[in-house]
Amino acid sequence: MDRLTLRKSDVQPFLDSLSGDYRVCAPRQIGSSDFVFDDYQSGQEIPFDFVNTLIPPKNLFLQARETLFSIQGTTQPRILERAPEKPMALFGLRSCDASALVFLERFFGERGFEDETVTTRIRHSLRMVLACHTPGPSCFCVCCDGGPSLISGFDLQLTDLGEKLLVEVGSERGRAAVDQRPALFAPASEADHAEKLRQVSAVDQSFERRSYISEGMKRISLARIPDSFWDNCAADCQGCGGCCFVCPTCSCFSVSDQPDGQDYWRRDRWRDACLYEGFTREASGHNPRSRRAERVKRRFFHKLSYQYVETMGRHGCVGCGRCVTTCMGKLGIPDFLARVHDECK
Amino acid sequence: MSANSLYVPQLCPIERIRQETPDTRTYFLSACEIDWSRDYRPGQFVELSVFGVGEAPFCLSQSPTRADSLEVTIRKTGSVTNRLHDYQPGDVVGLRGPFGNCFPFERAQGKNLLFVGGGIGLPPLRALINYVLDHREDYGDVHVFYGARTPSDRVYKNELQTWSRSDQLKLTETVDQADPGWTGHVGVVTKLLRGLEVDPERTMAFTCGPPIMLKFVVAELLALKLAQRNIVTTLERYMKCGVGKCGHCCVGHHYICVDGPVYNFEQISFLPEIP
Ligand SMILES: Cc1cc2nc3c(=O)[nH]c(=O)nc-3n(C[C@H](O)[C@H](O)[C@H](O)COP(=O)(O)OP(=O)(O)OC[C@H]3O[C@@H](n4cnc5c(N)ncnc54)[C@H](O)[C@@H]3O)c2cc1C
Ligand code: SF4
Ligand code: SF4
Ligand code: FES
Repeated sequence: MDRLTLRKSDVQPFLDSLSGDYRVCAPRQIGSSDFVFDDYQSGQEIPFDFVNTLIPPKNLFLQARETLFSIQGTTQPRILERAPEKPMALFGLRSCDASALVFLERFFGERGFEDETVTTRIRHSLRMVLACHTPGPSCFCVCCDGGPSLISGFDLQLTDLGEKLLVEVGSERGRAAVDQRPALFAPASEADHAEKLRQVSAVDQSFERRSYISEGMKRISLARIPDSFWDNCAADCQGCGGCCFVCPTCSCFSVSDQPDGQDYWRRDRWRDACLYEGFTREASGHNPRSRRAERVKRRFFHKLSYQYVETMGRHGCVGCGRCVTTCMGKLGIPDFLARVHDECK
Repeated sequence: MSANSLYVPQLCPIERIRQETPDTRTYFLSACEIDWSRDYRPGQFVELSVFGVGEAPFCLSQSPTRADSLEVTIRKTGSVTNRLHDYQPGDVVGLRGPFGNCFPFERAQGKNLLFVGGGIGLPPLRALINYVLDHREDYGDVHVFYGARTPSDRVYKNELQTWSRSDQLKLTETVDQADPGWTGHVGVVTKLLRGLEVDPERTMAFTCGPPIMLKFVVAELLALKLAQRNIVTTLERYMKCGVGKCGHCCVGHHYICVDGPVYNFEQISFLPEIP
């Protein structure tokens, strides 16, 4: 793998130069301690010491609400398709979120139909992953093969070496981004690489190892969990769907037509959550998942069962820990799996 | 093709509408712009758009061997279907498809076929029945059972009359509540199956209807010693996309819209949540 270095003071010029070809996005601090992924404004300060953004960069690829196409008229309609988009360059996304994008690209391409809106956005994006040196209290990517650094699934991988970043090239697209800007990049030394390896092993040590995670996944896959356990979880779940909305791999959506001015409509898709009661309610009123316990069971089966590993190549959880911070009922993935360990004997 | 063509429907004018029952109509959709109009398989469905409201899934209710226009038979139940009920010939709907797997019409070759439909469960079966009639020599005896609430709730009344006189198949009808002109059976459709003479090794059954009916029909068919894998139905789930993306129809790790909607009861016994 090619290794270079980029001075931190050259990051802004680098991003400025990318903005011709790309819509450039980067994390930005809001309030005292929160970060969001947003359009990069020239000259904006780029954070390097943050755990992760509140909302995953997934939302740039599968938006909370977006228009699939517009319609003029109803019984004699005309369809107005969307204009093509500029590809995105994401600077400073975390390993877990980059792993989630690989997962989503596969998900939206599988089962005989390709959702090109999503797959094209991901495939054409320039993903510049910032490897983690200090995991947050909720992070458990090491248990889910999601991070804290990557060996594939990025265009450029950045490791913080103080004044500069080590830049590893992971794709042709990344190669081109670097090659076109020779003045900004210098070859990396053996010492730079050694420092990265030291960091990788130090970060690895800083995670708490949790053996009950794989144990719980096995129980879920084999349906070796009593119904009473799901009832207990359902009593703590508030049904808010927060865990689904903050998750970098959750992708369920709904579709409906919205009025958009005189004689115009938009067919919008908007993110939906399997924990909502209406998610499976049929037109007859019949609801195959009418009980919250059934919906909670569904969510964890989808995230953690081997059945999905078979079709998707990995678990539906990359260990970002966002659901841990979001859930008020202590049903984030590791908390939930700890309960499986303690309560399902 | 545009980037999001997966969700962009083709425009399709309604050629003709036939009122089947007070709340159910069959729409004949112009097939001229639809390149797959003879290229779908019985059991498949489409996503139909009523613009300004949204989309919903409906099975293609005619056999591809007879599809001069595409047919869907639709009952009024909610927002899309209510608005559609006001549509007239010449009005334009959107169509995406054909989606889903299909009835195992090849595995059924050489077998005697039982069809058991309840109410609005006849449309998907009718696509297969007419397909079988158009490939008559490939199949054994065909016996269609149809149950409706009242005589006026029966769909395809003319076709039922044709079938009742045909020597190509046997039709047995029943209604829950008769009216003065009704000469057929009265009572639930399961009663007609009881004690039926069948060769279980050589028989396949196809059944569609309300969940409660299915439950009793399957029990009767199992009592006739049909194997679970020779009893076939279509599963209905709330569906938004039809292409395995929106997640609504997912059961276990099956996407009913892509892996289904046609399943036999052996497969169903491995699906969670489905009784
Ligand atoms: C594979 C498949 C094949 C199918 N094939 C057929 C077929 O061939 N024929 C057929 O008729 N059906 C078929 N269905 C069922 C059909 O898809 C549903 O009837 C349809 O989705 C209803 O859509 P809708 O928008 O009209 O109802 P929705 O609006 O989605 O209705 C949902 C529920 O909400 C209620 N509701 C709707 N609007 C309101 C409101 N404003 N206020 C209060 N309550 C409201 C309705 O009464 C209903 O109970 C099929 C389903 C599947 C999955
Ligand atoms: S399930 Fe939770 S921890 Fe796993 S990827 Fe989703 S939000 Fe992150
Ligand atoms: S889960 Fe891992 S990759 Fe994601 S922010 Fe935490 S340490 Fe980094
Ligand atoms: S209907 Fe969207 S996944 Fe099946």
